[in-house]
Amino acid sequence: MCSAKLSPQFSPEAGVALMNALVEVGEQSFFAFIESCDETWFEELASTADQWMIATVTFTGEQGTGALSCLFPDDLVLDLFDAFTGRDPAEGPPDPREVDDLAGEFANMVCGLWLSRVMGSHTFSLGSPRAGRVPKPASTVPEGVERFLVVVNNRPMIVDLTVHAANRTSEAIEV
Amino acid sequence: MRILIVDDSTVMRALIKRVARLAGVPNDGILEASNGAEALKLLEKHEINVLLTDINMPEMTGAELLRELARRDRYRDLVRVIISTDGSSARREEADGLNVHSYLEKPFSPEALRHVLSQVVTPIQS
Repeated sequence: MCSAKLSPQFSPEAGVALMNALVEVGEQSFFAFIESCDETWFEELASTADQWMIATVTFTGEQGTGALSCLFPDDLVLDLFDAFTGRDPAEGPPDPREVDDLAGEFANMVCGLWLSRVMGSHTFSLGSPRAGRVPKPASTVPEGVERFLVVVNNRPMIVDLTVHAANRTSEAIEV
Repeated sequence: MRILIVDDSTVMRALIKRVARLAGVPNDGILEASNGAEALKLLEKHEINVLLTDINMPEMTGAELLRELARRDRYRDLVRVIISTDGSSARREEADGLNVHSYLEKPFSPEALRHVLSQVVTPIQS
């Protein structure tokens, strides 16, 4: 069950498509099990995570513009890094630039796959992913943001999505 | 036998490189570029048989690169493969007009990439 409350800008079908994109990216490229979670479970898991990363991808298309951000604890990003690259954790810590790159690529794949599903017959383009460290995310959701709480290999992750429909700010993206 | 991997993500290039080696491409036969402009420079300097390119990249996108290659007769035998997060039908239709052999959508399994590479690498090697 998805915990996000969807605004008029964002159809329920688009929310389901986002969760499906997350699961597909997790399974195909990171051998990760991803499921949605409620706030209680999320807070319990998030309480054990001090260091967080954010990776953001912006997008533009015929139907609108927006941004997708993934917020994950550092240790989860390292797990995803090892799964993607085949790195042996005994080798020592990876180059932080490559970790940022990996976090960005995760967000990039989720965003691209989601847009391909919801804007199939329309073109879109993605900006270069940006990644960096952030404080532990506040539980308050910023205005205009759709928030998805998920669990990845039993670690917490947030996906924040902002969508502005082109010239139709109160309409949903069609799916 | 030489392939060129074009992607702005270093970890994605490393993954594709690893799968290419498993598909039988020698390590010294793999070149890398982080955008279309870098790829064009490498294509001018080296004899390259297979191009594996992302679409969304800074400076020069994969679509711009493919359009540029389509204008140059010397690259008519270059095998072009798109590996992109953009799997929209609009983008795939655009690729059809740019002499693209295969279109692989991210995320992909290593097996899927290996299958595509076996289709394009084996005929060139033989």
